[in-house]
Amino acid sequence: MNVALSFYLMELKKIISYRAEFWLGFLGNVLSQFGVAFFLWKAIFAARGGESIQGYTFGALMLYYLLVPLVERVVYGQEMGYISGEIYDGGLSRYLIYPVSYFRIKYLAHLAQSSVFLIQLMLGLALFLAVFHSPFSLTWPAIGKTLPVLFCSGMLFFIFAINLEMFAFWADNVWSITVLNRLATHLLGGGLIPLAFFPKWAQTVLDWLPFTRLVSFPIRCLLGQVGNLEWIRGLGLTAAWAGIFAISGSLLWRKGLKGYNGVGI
Amino acid sequence: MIRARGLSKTFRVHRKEPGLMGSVRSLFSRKWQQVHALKGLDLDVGAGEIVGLVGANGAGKTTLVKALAGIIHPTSGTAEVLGFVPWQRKNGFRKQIALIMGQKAQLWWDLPAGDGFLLLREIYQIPNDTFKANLAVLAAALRVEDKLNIQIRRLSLGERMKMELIAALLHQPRVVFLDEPTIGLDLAAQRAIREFILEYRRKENPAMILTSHYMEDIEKLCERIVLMRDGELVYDGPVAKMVSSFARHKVLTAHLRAGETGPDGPARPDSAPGEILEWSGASLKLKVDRAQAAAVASHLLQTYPVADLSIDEEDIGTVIEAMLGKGPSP
Repeated sequence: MNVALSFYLMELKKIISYRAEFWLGFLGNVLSQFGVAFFLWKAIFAARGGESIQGYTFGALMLYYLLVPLVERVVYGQEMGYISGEIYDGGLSRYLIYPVSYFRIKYLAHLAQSSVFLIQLMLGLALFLAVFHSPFSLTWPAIGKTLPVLFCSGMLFFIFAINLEMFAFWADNVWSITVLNRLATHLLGGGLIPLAFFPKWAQTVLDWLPFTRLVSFPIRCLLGQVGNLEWIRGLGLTAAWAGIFAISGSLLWRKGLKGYNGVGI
Repeated sequence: MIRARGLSKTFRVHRKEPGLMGSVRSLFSRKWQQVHALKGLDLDVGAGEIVGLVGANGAGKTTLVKALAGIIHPTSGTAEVLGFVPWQRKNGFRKQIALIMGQKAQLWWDLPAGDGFLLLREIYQIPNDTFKANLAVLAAALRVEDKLNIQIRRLSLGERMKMELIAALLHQPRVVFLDEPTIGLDLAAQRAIREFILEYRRKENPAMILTSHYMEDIEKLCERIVLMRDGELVYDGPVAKMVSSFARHKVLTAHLRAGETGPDGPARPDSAPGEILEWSGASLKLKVDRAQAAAVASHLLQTYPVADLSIDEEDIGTVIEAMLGKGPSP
């Protein structure tokens, strides 16, 4: 067994050992977001009348809002603040003496968490389809397109997030930056409202930014709304942004480590 | 194995005035202070040596260890550990060193130690047979074979420290940094860990640097001691030489013969030369100038019904305190 697989399995063991967290995290996160969206849009539909808004029926919107927290959890993976926390409290030091890349270890932890959340995504989707008899049906081509997109989106989010977390080398507390990142991703990625509700010019701009690749794009892939060309372009853009952030992250890491004091030991 | 020349490290730390106003002020304007943790330090450690690094809090001991383990970059100076520059963190270097931090858990908190060790086997690419043999030997030496399947967070502090030691030594490092390995442990656990470290040294012949505030660790483990004060070396040499060169006092202990001192026992020897450390009527312990030790011993033998007399060096902690300027002047 190689190092990567060992770390991945270790993280899986850690996550699965907390059974209550698995279920409560799933239910709490998904139900709270879905519940708010349900009552809000029900009121909006009642006030406006009509079958659909911006091409979304009520049922389609609810499916979208169910998928938002589920997909976000897969893409975001491990909870934020781990890396900045380890820089802040000196926990990073122990990884610096291991003959293995720190970010490799952290990415595998992220991947393990994402895998667990992927199971929750499937579970949530199956429940929705069973309960609501939605006209939407999950197809193999859609699943085939979504899995690599989720993988790439998760990697992009991880690389982007570590860029922000590395500010902990210079600022003691970067919690607010990581929270802003989540908010920005949620809003500009189409988590708060679908991108179709934004003005056309904003949709064009957002399409080139990384945020849409993290939320809206994987959801649309799963819903079977992404053609082959758009899928390839989307993956290309995701990889390009990941490459850009990998370069900036590498520079920040080198610079940050020179000033790292390893406090706390 | 370890060679440092002119090693310096300067930190910039934020100084905040106490109280709410200080916090508010620091939002707009911050005062910074330069802290010189290491000041041009030279050090050599060879194979098989256990060097005790001693100094008050803030003397720079841990900073030195962190620089030599490659965790931090020094501000200036050079260092080579096993032929590598530590802070370049080459894998060839990291595979041959270990750092044990008594105050910081390195094993995975949520996992049994056994799982953590399996992970370390992969990290250090230890052949399976070697891994199994090393683990069996280390776990037996520290008597924790039956604890390997328990989550780290459910172990006692002593058991956890033993697991940390095993984790650090599984890959048979050639350079070992031990930062307070016995801190917070009971006496039995301290003794077990000391014996284990000596056994490891005997078998593997590594270079070891030990920092500890427990003088017993230093006395039992180290032949050589490095004293640090404010980022500088104050002394670097054998422990015995330090005591003989820097201790200004000796401790005389006289046990008196019962029945020869009258019904009320002997009178308290207020006029005895030196400082009385203990007086029980049956024994007397005096701290005297080294130069006067022989004369005082002779005086005691002539004045008291002495059954037994011993002349000892001051304890190492007192000598160190005096050298570091924290204790009574030597």
